[in-house]
Amino acid sequence: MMDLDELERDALTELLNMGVSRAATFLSKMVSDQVALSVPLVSIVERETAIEAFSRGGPTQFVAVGQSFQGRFSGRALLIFPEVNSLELVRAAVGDGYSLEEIVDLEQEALTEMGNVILNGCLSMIANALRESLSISLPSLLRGDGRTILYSHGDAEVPSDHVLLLYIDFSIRSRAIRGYIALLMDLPSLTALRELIHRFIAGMVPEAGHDKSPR
Amino acid sequence: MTNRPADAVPPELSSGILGALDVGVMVLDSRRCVRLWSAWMARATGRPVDEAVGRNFLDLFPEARDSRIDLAVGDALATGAPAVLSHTLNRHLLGLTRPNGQPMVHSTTVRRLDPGAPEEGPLCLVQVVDVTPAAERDRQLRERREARYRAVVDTARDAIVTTDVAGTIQWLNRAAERGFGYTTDEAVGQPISLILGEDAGRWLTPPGPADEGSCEVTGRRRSGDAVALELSLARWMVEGSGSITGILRDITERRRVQHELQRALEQKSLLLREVNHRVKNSLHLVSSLLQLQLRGLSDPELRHQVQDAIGRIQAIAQVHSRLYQTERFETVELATYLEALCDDLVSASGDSAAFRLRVEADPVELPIDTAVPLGLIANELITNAIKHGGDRPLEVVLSLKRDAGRLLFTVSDTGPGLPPDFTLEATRSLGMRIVTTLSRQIGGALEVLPAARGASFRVAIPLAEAGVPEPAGA
Repeated sequence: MMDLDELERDALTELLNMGVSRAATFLSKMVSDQVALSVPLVSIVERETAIEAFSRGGPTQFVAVGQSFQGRFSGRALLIFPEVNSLELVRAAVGDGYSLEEIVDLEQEALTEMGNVILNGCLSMIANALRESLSISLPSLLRGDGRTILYSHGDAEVPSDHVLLLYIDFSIRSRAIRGYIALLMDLPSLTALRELIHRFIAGMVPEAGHDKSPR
Repeated sequence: MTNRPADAVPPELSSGILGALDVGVMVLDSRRCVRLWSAWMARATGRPVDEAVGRNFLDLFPEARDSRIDLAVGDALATGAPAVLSHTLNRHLLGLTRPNGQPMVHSTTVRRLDPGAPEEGPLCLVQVVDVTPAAERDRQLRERREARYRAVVDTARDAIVTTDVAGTIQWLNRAAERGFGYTTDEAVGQPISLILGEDAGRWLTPPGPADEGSCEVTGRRRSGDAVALELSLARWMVEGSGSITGILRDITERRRVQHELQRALEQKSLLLREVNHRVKNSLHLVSSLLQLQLRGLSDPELRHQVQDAIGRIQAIAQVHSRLYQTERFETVELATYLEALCDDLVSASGDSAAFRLRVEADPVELPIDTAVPLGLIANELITNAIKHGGDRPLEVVLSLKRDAGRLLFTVSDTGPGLPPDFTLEATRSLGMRIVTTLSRQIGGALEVLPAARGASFRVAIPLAEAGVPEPAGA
């Protein structure tokens, strides 16, 4: 089982944190309210383990926005949150002046765009920091249980066994909405990402570049 | 696609297609200057191609500075991340107008375009789609749907509230606004505990089968007053999103009326018991007066007559005595009544050794209109048996049975039996005439049963006539 060492994990967490905070700024604008997004946890797990983690307790139906990316490392990025939160999230974005029927009508497009903002925030931050060019697809909306969502392939077929899983907490003032970001990548892509992270670390801390041996 | 030779599509055809496209197309270079401006864009912005090309995007759309599209263009150019800008969140993003002058509702897609020549730097393709007709149609459909729906829910007298599956209020009707004292703006987004207080848990837990879809809860008005509610819940799904709709009926008034009815009923019971008690006392008084009168009489025939009258009055008094001692005022349990009647007769005779009375009765509830005549019939037949019982110790058996849709009431004795020439039609005894008349009055038939010893009379009353419900399955 491939895993990240502490330095790699810190670097990646930092990258994603920057991406997510950038997304939070955009989201705050969209929902005209304070949005806090955090990256408390980054881990690499096998896909089945991730599915189990999603199904364990709590809600079992999810809504997800997915975007595929291709480049030196390829895969699929997913923003996943429990279905029970979805209408609240839309209401937060469009304001309270809408009826329930309107919210339901707006849901699909509004969620797609919000997911797009958050995922772009993460993906562009990683691509920028690693000085890599990624070709990223347009977002699409998915619904279903953890398995349906983690096995969905968008326009790009990504036979990934590993999932880089991030838990993020959305908090929109009074509306406590929790979500996850998952990056699905196969082993070669993860290895490539790891190398790029090392280059990034080396660039930030020149002396670290000479010490690549595991501790 | 980027490697396709530039001459694969003739340039005239390309520009022809671009001009005919029903989508707005704009290409920006890395400095965000317009490189391409389709005819559609010219129409929607009122800026002809030659006026737009070469100008900075923000000069053309000053209101877009720092907006979602400004950031999306920056992202696309810097990292290639594409963006969708839905009309639902960005209704009039670029301030475009339709040919008829109406503001255009549009959705926008922003993505990076790989330049033909590598030295050029990245380009950004912005596509704009006019979704006004679709948005308008959605709105009309929604309004039509809502008009029908509102006609029902807003005229409803019961409060109707919809929440998501987490219990956050999404919608409420006018009756709910009035009933709880919150406007829609105040209530939407609040947890259901706003109006249900501690009973909010009942909203989220699916009702058990015992609840039959509704349960009683206590709600809370804005003023803090409690309100008794009957809650009926329905869970429903729209495109995968769960919702809960509840109808909350204010049952404060119903509970008050129920309470008053209960009190009125209790008062009525009290009154009826009192009336029966008084009737019984009055009848006892009458029989006491007759007892006094009896003392002054020496003629045995007269004494018998008065004693018979006393017995009859006491038989009626006993019915009222039963009535005020039980919770029921319309029916009398006959077995118990007959036992009490026999006790009265034994104690009135003052000689308990001379005869024995036995009651073999199925428990039967009889309406008072049947019970009083039947009690009088029993009184006459028992009195007759004792009167004509002779010197030997006498046993009288009263039996009350249900049999094939009839109620059979039999009085048999072990006395000397009836005279050989006895017929019901010919007898001149007052007692027997009373028995015959009362039997007819309650729809029964009186007959003399053949007996090896003593006499046996039977009154057969159809259960329907007696007001007794047929036993189930009979």
